[in-house]
Amino acid sequence: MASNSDSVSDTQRTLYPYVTGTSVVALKYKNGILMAADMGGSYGSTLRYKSIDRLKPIGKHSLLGASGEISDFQEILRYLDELILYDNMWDDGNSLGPKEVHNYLTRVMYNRRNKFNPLWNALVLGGVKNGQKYLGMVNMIGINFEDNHVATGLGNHLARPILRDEWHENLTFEEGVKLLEKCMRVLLYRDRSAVNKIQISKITEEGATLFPPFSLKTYWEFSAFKNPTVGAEGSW
Amino acid sequence: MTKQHANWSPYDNNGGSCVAIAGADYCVIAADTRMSTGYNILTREYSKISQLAEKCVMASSGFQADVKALQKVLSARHLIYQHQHNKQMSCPAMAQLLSNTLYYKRFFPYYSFNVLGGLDNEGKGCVFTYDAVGSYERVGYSSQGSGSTLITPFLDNQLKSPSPLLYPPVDAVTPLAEAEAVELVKTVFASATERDIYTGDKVEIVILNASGIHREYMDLRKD
Repeated sequence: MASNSDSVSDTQRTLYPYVTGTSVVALKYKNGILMAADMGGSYGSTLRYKSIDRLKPIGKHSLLGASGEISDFQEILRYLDELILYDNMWDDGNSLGPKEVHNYLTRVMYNRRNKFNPLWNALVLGGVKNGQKYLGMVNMIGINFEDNHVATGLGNHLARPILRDEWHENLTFEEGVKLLEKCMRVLLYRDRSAVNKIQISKITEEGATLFPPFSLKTYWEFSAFKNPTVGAEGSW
Repeated sequence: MTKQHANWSPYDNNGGSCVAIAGADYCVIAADTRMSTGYNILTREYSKISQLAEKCVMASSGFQADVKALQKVLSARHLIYQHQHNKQMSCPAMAQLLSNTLYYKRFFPYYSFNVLGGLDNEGKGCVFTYDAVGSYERVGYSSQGSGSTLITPFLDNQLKSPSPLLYPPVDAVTPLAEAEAVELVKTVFASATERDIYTGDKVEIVILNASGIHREYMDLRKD
């Protein structure tokens, strides 16, 4: 099996990621999709970049959120640019919806995995077309699925349980944002690569809206933080 | 300096169990709808069943991206077959195609554990069971995936099929009626869900018979 990896020489393929983005969380709400991500780009354990846009609108109907290697995300955006351009050039009144874009991304990611040269990302693709809401995810080995709420990276461990408990059909915009903020707050407390500069974006039938970045209010006065060893005999 | 190897694996196991049972004039194919990775559940509503032809249904568990790709390849090949022969592929024909497709990637396999179920040219139920590289066999019933070790002994005991060890070989199609077989499938999944962490959420049951295709769902434990 190792011999198959010689299709591209080792100096030419991704072995590990360098600049990475952390979790993306997204959910379906009444009018479409809400997606959130922070704006950090970590270089290992250093927080190197603090204004990276990890949520991008694609065409008229979709929103893409990415975690993982930022340079691979930028490459994917170039592929999608070309895809949307050729779609527009048909000038036939038709446009690629979120299902189609997700399918395209899945094929691209799977193909790169087959060549042992993955795009080191976990992507969230959401959108609305003709009243149909769609939210899907695809990762660097081509695993893909759609659901009412998705998350990447640590979001799977920390945000999904909250969403499983509190998500329901037809959330209003305000409820959706509150739920996303709750998830992002937990991630901010517990994910070491998280940064307190959050971007939320929504996509509805009317189009995509990227809200300006904001920071979450945090509370550090919990008594357990002040006296962490209370109740743990022998600890210090 | 030794060659730096990739520290990622191109494979993952997304879990799940599949079952197929052949009867005298029907075939039941079932799979759970949970998709997992490691100790996480990615989604509770993912179908592992794909209808390849009018009388031929495949259930696959394993690495989901490979399963999806395999389903796409077979679908495309079936479409070409229809264009060239002006008819649907029979289940035994699709069985051979699946085997060949899997072996084609013998040295970078589809990590997909399949059961193929359907009706043969005489309308009798048929089930084919596969390993990841295409070795296959026609059987009366089969189970694949993470819960297969729990399910297969149960089926051996309850289906009342003739023993596969008999010589001359006797057709191992179950003498059970369709409704009984479906009940058995539900019981089998409920049991597998208890002890296999990768099986649960819902079971999707597809029944193929002379009147066509019928689908039903049953809830399973979500823990």
